[in-house]
Amino acid sequence: MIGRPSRDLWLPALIGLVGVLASLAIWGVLVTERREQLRRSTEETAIATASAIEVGLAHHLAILEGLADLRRRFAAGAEAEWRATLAERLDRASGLVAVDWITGDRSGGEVADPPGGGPGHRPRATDDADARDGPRFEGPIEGEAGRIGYRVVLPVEVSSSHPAGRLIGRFEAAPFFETVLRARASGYALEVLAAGRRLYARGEPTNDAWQDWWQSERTVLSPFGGPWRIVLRPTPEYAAARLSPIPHYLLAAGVVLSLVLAVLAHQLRVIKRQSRVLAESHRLVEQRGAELERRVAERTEALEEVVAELEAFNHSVSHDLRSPLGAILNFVAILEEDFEGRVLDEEGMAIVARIERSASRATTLLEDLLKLSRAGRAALRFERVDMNALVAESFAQVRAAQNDDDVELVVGPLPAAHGDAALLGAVLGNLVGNAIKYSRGCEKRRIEVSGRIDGGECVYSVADNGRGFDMRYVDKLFGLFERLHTEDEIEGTGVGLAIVRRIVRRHGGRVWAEGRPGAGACFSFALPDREVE
Amino acid sequence: MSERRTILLVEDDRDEIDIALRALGRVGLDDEVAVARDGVEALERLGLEDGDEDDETRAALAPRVVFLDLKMPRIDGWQVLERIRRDPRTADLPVVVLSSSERREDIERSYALGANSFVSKRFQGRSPGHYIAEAARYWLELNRTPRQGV
Repeated sequence: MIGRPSRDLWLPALIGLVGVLASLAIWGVLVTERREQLRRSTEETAIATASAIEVGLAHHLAILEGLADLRRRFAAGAEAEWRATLAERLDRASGLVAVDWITGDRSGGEVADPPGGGPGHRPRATDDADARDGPRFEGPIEGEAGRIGYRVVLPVEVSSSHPAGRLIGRFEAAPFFETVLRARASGYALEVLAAGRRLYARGEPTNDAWQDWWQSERTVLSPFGGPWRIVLRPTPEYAAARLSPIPHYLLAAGVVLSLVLAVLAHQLRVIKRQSRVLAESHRLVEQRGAELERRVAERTEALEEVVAELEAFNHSVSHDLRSPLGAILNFVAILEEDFEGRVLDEEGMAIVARIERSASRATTLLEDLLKLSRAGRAALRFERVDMNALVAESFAQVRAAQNDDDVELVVGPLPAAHGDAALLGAVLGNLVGNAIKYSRGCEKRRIEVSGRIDGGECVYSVADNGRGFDMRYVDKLFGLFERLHTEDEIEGTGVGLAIVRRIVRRHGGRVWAEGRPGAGACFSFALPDREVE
Repeated sequence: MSERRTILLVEDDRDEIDIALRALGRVGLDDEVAVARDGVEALERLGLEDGDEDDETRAALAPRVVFLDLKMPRIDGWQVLERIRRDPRTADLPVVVLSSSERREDIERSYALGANSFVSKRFQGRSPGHYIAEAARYWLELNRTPRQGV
């Protein structure tokens, strides 16, 4: 059992791990793809932006060259016309704030101030060897109020022999780039570098650690020469807009799902194991139950066998004892009839009479025991029984048997019973017989039989005004062989009321007695009222 | 058929045999009684036993009435009664069942199997066995063929 938890955990752990890894892989692919897209688009934008700047610069150069042509034509003098044209041209070139002319002899030139002012920087005449070869870039230059600008120096030759001078265009970076890039590269922070120094910058780049990865750097081919570069980076807002958070959500969902799956797998295993354990214990319980049932059935069978054996024993003993007892009685009778006065004198005959009486008692006892046995064994034949008729019949039989006429019977209306007529007759016979027997010798003997239906029971009572009994001994009344009087006082075997109780109980009823010494007894029994069925 | 035994008493209890013989003696029939002590012997005496029909250990009888106890070892009274009624030679033989039982089902069963009378061995209070004697006289009288001059 010690190795059990780890064996139970490896599969859930594997499921969770695989799930998390898969989520990470998907996340990585999606994120990389999107970032790659962003990077590519940054690059494209950088290319386009560089081209736009190149075009703008070419335009500037064209303006400057136009001015140079003008200067040639106006070679000397005609300053007023130059100025007018210059002012007009300046208006058409964004960022170009001033153009200086420096004549070849370096005597200084006229400076055309830009309209609206500009960097008040006065360029100094330069004398570069390559100035004559083409336009030359100078910058970046920090001008007034920190405005960044630059200069373009364009050598102007009037003729091959007469270098006329240099045309210097002063540019302010911000207006130029703003004009050129107005509708371009929105969403990007960009930086224009000239000679490795910042010429222009726009926007805040992303703070993303990956920004270098997205960053796109392009060389701008400047007609003025000099290494210009632009650097583009997406702004945080743009990057955020382009990089949708869906992959992150997917990753989170994937991780959560993996964990849930892992937990579920674990639970499933636990449940499986528990259900196995449950099934096993269920099987055990069932097995035990079946075993118990089997044992109960066995015991019941054994008990039933024992009871049946006892009943059979009772029956056969009673039955078999009758034969020898009958023989004793028969031989006694033979002695009395055939040998009277021949073999035995008077005393001998008295002894024979006592033998006969004892044998008779034993026979009666056996008869009663057989009746008790039958009351317990006989199958009940249920029918509707007219109890009034049964009482009358029983009374007649008992009175005839006891040869006793001096008794009055009063029978009230009795509810019909549902039971075995023969056995109920035995009950009434016993009760009425007892009433007659135990009232013998009393005056105005009266037996009253009454009945009623009470709470789903048919209750029957047989009351007499005989000698009654002490309620202290009421428990003994219905016991087998229990008697409250000696045989000499009142004959009896102590079986009759046991028979009564057994029969009533077999009918599902109950039996009880009330009495007082000298004031009579009342025996009652109640049977379930089945009239409704 | 040297013996003239017209009554076959089938009874295993010696006392009962004695009582029956005394009662029959009173009416002078005790000489005519043959006693079988159980069902097997009864069938032998009646020549109804299975198998050895040539084995004449006892002379086969042709009684005119049989007194038959019910409760006997080996073959009980009812089985004997059945065999008696099944065989054509004895199918009409009067059979008086003797029993200490007075149970209704025992009585009904006896008559159902073909008993002619059912007599209780219970002590009757006077002249023990006189029911047997009277039954014997009744059946012998009834079955006595008119005596022809020889």
